Amino acid sequence: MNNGESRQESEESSAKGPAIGRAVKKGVRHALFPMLVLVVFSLIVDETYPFSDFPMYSRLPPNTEYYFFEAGNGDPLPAKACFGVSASAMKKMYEKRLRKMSKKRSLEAGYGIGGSDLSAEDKAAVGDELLDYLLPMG
Amino acid sequence: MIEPEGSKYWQIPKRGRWEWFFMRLFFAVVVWWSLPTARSMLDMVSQPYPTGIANLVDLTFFSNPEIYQVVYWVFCAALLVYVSGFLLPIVLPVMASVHIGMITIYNSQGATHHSYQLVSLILLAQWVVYWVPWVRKVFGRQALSLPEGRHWRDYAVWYSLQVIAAAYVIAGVIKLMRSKGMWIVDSPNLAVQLLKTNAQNYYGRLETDAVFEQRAALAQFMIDNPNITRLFLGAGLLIEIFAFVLLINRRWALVAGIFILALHWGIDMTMGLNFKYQMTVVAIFLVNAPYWAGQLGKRGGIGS
Repeated sequence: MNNGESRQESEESSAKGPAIGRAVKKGVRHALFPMLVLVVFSLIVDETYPFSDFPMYSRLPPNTEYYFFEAGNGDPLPAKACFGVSASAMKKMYEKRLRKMSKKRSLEAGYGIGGSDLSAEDKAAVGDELLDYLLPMG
Repeated sequence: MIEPEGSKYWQIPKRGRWEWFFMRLFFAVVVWWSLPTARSMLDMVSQPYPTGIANLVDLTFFSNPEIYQVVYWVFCAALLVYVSGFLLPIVLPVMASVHIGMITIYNSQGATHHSYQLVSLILLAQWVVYWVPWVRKVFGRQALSLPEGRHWRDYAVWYSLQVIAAAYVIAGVIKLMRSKGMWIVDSPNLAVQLLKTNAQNYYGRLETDAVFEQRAALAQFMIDNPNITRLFLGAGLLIEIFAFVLLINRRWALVAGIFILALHWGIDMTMGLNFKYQMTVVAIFLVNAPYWAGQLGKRGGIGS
């Protein structure tokens, strides 16, 4: 590389440097920048109150499920009246506990086990744990 | 502080003294309204699935009725001072800490509720705005000089708007991310969620709610008319993704606010999900009726 080429390259890089710097500065000073930072941060930290990635209905599979309580004789029990929680909150609580159990089983097995793949005993244990939590609220 | 340059768009609007007063007054009501009651906090004796600061601090003391009463009245006093506009660097941390603390333990029971984040985040944003000059002063740094005619209230409202815009954009982006871009295509499947809502509402109280039949009929309509469903739900998704336009200027904030309120109204009518705190916050900061009423009164029409 001769001196002429070297000088030209140097001039180009110094012109490019400030230009990139100006663009970055302009971007950071743009009105949208704080919002974008919060969007990215919230997507990274997930559900960390008060931050959230607001995942409600973000996936719409063709099937879903709901849960309810039954008395010993098979009659349904009103979740709100019995435990002070809505059936929707109860579902979230059950599924969170199910995820915890599936993580535990996955670690033990060394491969991923989904909530639906858990054994009937594990699912019953998760249900019992939820009942233990909810019963004092009744 | 960020001070966008250039055109008349994407600027931080100046806020009048009365405009900021009405925002504080209405927002204080929402903050008070959204605080969990003593009764609902009684059951929060543990935090089995901690979130946020509950991972670091045991917040179960809020379930103690005596402590709750003390915290509640300190909180109410802080709200009144906030409305007055005095001592904002002192009362905002109190309001934000109590609100975030109580909802954090509420959300640490294994079920995450999404009704309160916007209120807590706006409190946090306003706290940060009023603490920037105060913290600099405490640490002996040079005071921040605001541009001519600027007040801290301009930034408090501006960052409240940033939070609102971010919340809706996140809700839109996450739908595209988790569905791998197929959310609109899959949207007719929302019909099964409507039926689930019906079933859950029934098993909550063992009685059907007022719109049980209509919701079932709507679910059937969605299944029978998938493309019309995609059109309507796709419009809702666009409202979320493009919510950032509320930062363009006051008029865009008004229009975006009306669209977001319409979106929430539609969600309430169909899903029975009433995001009343979000709706009120959007009405306060985006629709901003006192400001526009003042403009109409002054000019006999909506001005710039």
